[in-house]
Amino acid sequence: MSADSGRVGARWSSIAARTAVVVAVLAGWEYLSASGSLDASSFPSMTDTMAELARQLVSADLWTALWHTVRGWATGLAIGASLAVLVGTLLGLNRFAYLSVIPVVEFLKTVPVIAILPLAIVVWGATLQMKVFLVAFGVFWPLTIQVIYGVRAVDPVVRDTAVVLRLRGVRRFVGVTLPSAAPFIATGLRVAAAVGLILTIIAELIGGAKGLGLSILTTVNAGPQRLPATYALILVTGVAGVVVTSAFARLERRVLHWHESQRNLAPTGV
Amino acid sequence: MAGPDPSVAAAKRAGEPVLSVRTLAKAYDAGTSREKLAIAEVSFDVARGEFVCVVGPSGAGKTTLLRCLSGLLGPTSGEVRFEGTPLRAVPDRLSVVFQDYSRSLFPWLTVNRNVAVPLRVAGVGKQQREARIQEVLHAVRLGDVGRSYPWQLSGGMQQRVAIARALAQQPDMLLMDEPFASVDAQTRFDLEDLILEVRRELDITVVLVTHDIDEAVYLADRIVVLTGAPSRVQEIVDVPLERPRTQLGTRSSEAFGRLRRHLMELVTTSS
Repeated sequence: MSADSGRVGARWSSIAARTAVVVAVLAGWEYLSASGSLDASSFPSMTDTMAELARQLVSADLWTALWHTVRGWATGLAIGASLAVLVGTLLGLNRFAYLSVIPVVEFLKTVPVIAILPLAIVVWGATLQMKVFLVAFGVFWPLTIQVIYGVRAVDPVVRDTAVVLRLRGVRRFVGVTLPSAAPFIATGLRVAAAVGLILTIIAELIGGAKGLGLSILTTVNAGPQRLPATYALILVTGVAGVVVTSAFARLERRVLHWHESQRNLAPTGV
Repeated sequence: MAGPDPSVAAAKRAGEPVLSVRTLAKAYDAGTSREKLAIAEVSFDVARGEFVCVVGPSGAGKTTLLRCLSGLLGPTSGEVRFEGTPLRAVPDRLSVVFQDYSRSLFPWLTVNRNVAVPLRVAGVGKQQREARIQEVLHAVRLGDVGRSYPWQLSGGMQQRVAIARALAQQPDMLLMDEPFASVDAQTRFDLEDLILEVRRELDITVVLVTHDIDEAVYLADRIVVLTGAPSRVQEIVDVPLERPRTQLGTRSSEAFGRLRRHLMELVTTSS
């Protein structure tokens, strides 16, 4: 009981501390603007930015842009992740295929996705497809490697146990291989989701596809009086990143509640 | 799991050993320059209903032997027969309990679901499966833990779950690899007595590999003593201590002390 109330107390004080830091940063920003330390032509004041953000939040433009961004991100992530799980599993289960293909995968993983952006623009133009391709491509390689390692990382005792229990084929894959690989896949997915969002914004900003990235570019081109809007939109992309990361972390905690890394973090549902 | 007519099968098996090991040898990296002989020549039989312990100095290839006996590893030469059939894979009527329960129990499954795994593989229906789970959990003296995850239980309880899972498919033989080496002394005594009770109640054959001589003497009908690597059978020692055995009574008896001393001499001189 006392441990519980202690934990609740710690939780509240940590929330209070974080809120205090955010307030301090915002106040500091306002102070620097008001004192003239921040150049008003490139850095608007906090209150102007917040006022613009509030205005944006009730306008349809922001929500349309957000929808375009989310759609491109989610589609690309879904395609890239599905292919990665499929290909990674096949490569992880077949030693010969793994040894043959791994150098290519390792090489393609290191190719910066931005380098192929011009190519994607030439092929698809400023479209949703271009964005989806870029995200799927960027997510696919690192996640494939995670999946390969996960599938190959089945504990030897677990492997022996599966043999002894005569687990074979699909039953063994679903019942033993996949749960063993799940922690690797979950980590890969969490990182991929964040990377995917960055790639989406880049595809919009540079490739010109509709979304938050393009909106940022438009406000920049509109001149200094639109500067607060630029900053407001940047804040929105930041919040989107935080939401995505924490959503995937939550999902990981739920699905992997049995795993050593999660046991002390979440109620087990027992 | 319904094999041939049990009475016919029983009659056929009555005389023959459950497990028969003939001039078994195992070399790793056989045929290469790195060839390393782990088992030189091991032969012994295990009769139906017998409790046989295998002991030997550390590094004597006990785990290799167990893997060969279970069908997890093929021998380099020689033969292992289980119920008359040469071993090619892990046979249906054989169950294995590993030392490391924290890894051999699937952490993503509850206790009930862990025990259910071999039953599902055998295609046992839901109702029968649930009844059987209750039965084996009761047999290992576990109360209402079915909905817990293994890692929420103590070490001793986890190994009981592993034993229950091994018993679920009603095996003829239980093969155990240092099953009580990772628990504290008191739990170890409890689990030793448990396995003796289970064996008596279910009339099951047990082969248990251990490095603990006291444990071997306490549990076994016969003890196979291995030499250091590459292993050979140094001696097969009969343990004529009366049953039922008790931790205090049996371990303080004079006969126990003599056997223990004899085994100590064998193991320490061979390493």
